Amino acid sequence: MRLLIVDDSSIMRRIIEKNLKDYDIEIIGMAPDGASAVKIVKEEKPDVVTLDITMPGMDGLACLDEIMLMHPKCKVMIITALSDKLTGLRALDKGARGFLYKPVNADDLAKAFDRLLKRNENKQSGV
Amino acid sequence: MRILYDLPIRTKFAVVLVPLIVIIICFDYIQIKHNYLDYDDSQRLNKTILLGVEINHAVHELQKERSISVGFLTNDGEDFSQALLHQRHVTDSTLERFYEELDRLDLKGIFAIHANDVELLNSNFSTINSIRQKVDRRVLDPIQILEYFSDIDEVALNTVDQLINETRDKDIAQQVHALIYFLKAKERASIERAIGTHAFSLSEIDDETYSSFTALVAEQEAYTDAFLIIADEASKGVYNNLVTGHDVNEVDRLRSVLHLRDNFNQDPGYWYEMTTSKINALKRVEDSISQRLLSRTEYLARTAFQKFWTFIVLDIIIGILAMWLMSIIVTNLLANVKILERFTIRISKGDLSKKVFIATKDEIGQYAKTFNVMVDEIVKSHNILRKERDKAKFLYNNIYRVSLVVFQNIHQGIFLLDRNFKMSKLYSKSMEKIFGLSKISGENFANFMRPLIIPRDLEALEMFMRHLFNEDMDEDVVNQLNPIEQVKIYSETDGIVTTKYIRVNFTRIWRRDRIANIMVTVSDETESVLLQKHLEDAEKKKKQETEQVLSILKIDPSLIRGFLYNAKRTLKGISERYEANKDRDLKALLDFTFETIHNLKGNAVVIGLDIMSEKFHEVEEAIESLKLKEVTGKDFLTILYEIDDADKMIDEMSSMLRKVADIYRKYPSGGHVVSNIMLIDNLERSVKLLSDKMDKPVDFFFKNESNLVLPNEHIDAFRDIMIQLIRNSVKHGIEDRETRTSLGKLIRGTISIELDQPKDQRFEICYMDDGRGLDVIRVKQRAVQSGILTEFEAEKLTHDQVINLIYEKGFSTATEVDENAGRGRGMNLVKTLIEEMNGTFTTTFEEGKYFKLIINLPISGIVEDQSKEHETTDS
Repeated sequence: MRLLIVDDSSIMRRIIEKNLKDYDIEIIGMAPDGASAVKIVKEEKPDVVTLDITMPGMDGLACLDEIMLMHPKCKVMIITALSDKLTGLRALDKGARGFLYKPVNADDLAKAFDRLLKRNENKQSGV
Repeated sequence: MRILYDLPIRTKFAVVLVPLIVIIICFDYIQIKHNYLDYDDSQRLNKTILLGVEINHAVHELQKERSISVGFLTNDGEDFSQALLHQRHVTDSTLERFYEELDRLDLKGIFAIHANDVELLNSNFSTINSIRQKVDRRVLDPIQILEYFSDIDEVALNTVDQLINETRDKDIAQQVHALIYFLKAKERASIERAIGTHAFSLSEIDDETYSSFTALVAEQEAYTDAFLIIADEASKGVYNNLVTGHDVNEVDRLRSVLHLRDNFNQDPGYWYEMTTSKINALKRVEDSISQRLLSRTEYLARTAFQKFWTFIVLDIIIGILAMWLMSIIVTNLLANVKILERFTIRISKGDLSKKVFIATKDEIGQYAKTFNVMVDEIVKSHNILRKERDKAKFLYNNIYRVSLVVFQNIHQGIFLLDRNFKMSKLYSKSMEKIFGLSKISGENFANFMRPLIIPRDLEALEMFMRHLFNEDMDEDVVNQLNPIEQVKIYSETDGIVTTKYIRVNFTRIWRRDRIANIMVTVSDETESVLLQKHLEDAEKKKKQETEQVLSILKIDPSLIRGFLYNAKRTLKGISERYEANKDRDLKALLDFTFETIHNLKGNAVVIGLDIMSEKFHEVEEAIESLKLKEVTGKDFLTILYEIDDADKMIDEMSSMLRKVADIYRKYPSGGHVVSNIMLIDNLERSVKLLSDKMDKPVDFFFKNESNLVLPNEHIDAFRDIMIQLIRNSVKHGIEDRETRTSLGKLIRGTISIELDQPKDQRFEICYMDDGRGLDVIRVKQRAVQSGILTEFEAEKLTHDQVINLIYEKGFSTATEVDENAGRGRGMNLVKTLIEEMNGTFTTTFEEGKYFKLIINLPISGIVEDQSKEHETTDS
């Protein structure tokens, strides 16, 4: 499982990285904004991307559009501080598979990833 | 072996018991057969002996007839004719007896074996008559006659031998042989008699006869010896007793005469008589032996017969007993096994209605008990299961009715959404109550919610429902984005619009791999939300009050009182200006309001009254937001509202301040010393606060504090005076660092308060700072600017009059109005307070050096108070 972490806060990036250490997840990169995230996705084609919504320059939703266009199989998990439900639902519309509110703790993150990956397995076995 | 293991129990029993019974029966059969054979043997022997005895009688008589016949022929029939007739008659009668016996005895079995012997004997006996005719006609010589008869006798004796010589009993066999030897010896004795009779009749003996005679005697002796060897003691005894005496000795004497062949002048009759006597004795011995044999065989037959029947009876008894025991055990055991078998078959068919009853206490009885317990348990579990099943069945059959009942009574709103977001026709009664509607159904849920929620939430709801029905989306992920998890709705009941807070939750209902419906639950949380808000408000208010109290306790009351007094007046000034409405320029009015409030905020900050500075900050913010746009008269209402709120807060603070002061008054703690320390501490803190604020380091000295004896009601006034003076000194009197350095002064300024020893009911307070003193010209200018007097009047003022100017109402030397000074109230307040206490004051200064104020206050009230206190304590 290859993961890209996209968040403009370096603390947040580190929190996500630290909490996923015990899982069988390879972190292939971290991006502080949408534009660099799109670049990494294009080159590395990660399996999973955690994506912040509020970011300087290209925001999360625009970035999600780009990711889905280039790499539709990518599982995107939105991790945001925005409490606005409509934005979250729009992200799901655009193809996000997971959703998490900040601040995140290890437990929430583990559960969210379990759900995301289990769903993935189910789908594969169903095919 | 395996086959044996697998057999049914009954067959196993048969396998074990049947061979055992067969063995017992076989053994018994052998026993019975053996005894039967013994019986049969003895019976047969008994009969043959009886027959043999008759034959022997006949032989005995034939022997006599033979001897008489020989004598008759030898003497030419004179001596023996009578005897011969008689003898023939006797012989015939014995033969008749033999035939009678032969007929009488049931000898079919014996006859089968010895038929030939008996046949031969009969043919020999039938020759007797022809022999007799030959004797009567004297056609034969005596020796021939002897031989004829001897042949018959031989056959007869052989027949006897054949008849009795077959027995299973050893003793009897021996005695039978003894008897046979004895009979042969007797036959030899009889022939000896015949030859002797012949020889004595002729008074000579030819050589042939002599040799046969000696051989005969030798044979006789040998047979007798053989008899004596094998015969039992009883037979020997009988022989020794009977064959003895004179006649026997005479026979021996005459026999030796014959042996010698020289003296034959002996009476043949005498020989015959003697030998007959001896032979009769032998006959009696023979009869005795025969009799004993008979009784012996009879005994044996009887015993064997008894044994035979005993065994048969025993067999029958044992058989019956064995059968009886076996039948008891087998019937009992097998019957119980059979009962258990039937029972288990019944259970296997599902019939648990009956119990098994086995009376025995053996293993099977125990099994039966265990079985019953098991069956009880099964029946119990069965009953529980059946009840559960019935319940489930009932629920299943009545699910619609039950749901109706549930839906009528449940406090939550519940309904189902189909894939077209249509609301189900079945919904809980509470739905109508929550939404204030009389009928809900079949409507699209988004349309249903449209008038109740804001458009943004509605848009989110539509998207949310779409994702809910998407099987690829995780339910928990989607539910995190529920836009109406808690939402404020506006509903109309009886024409009255009410606001409600509702919680709406969504749960997927799967049918196979597809989401068939979404179950929606709606709960009315208005009360709890309102309660929550109420609690939050109360909490906030409580916090505010606490802060108010704390800030009051923390800060010098005189400072607060001054501030509150000032603030209230300032706010009133704003309101008055608004009401007067003389300013057409709304923008300028707004600026004025902002500045005034900003100053109040600054003052609150200086004295550390955070709660008020926060409040003024809020007012500032409200004004700030208005500044950005075109101001209308209506906008001032908000500001007025805010100002009114701040005014209320000031009133609250004032009343609380009074309460606190009352508490201090009612419960004076530690008298003057304590209040002095508190007072000095307050002043020190004020100096520190102001000097930090102005960035002017100031040292504060309070000298002779023990001389401070003021009535309690004057302490506050005293503190207020001092604080005003300190503020004035720090703000105006003491120069900033640079100025002091350039003037050659110490950077740290000094403020000192010195108390004199009270005298004549008064005491003096000397306040002094080392600041710039008073700038007389500038004071005059400010007084003119403040509109207190004209320039002309100012020119004429004396030095002292100039000093008094600073105590005038509205005078301020500060160029800018700031939170610390400049409101033109400072020194006027000092003057007012001193005068209120009936005090006097003198101001002295040296420009650029110092400012000094000496206050003289009366202490009469204190003395009175103290004497009063003493009186109370003394009494």
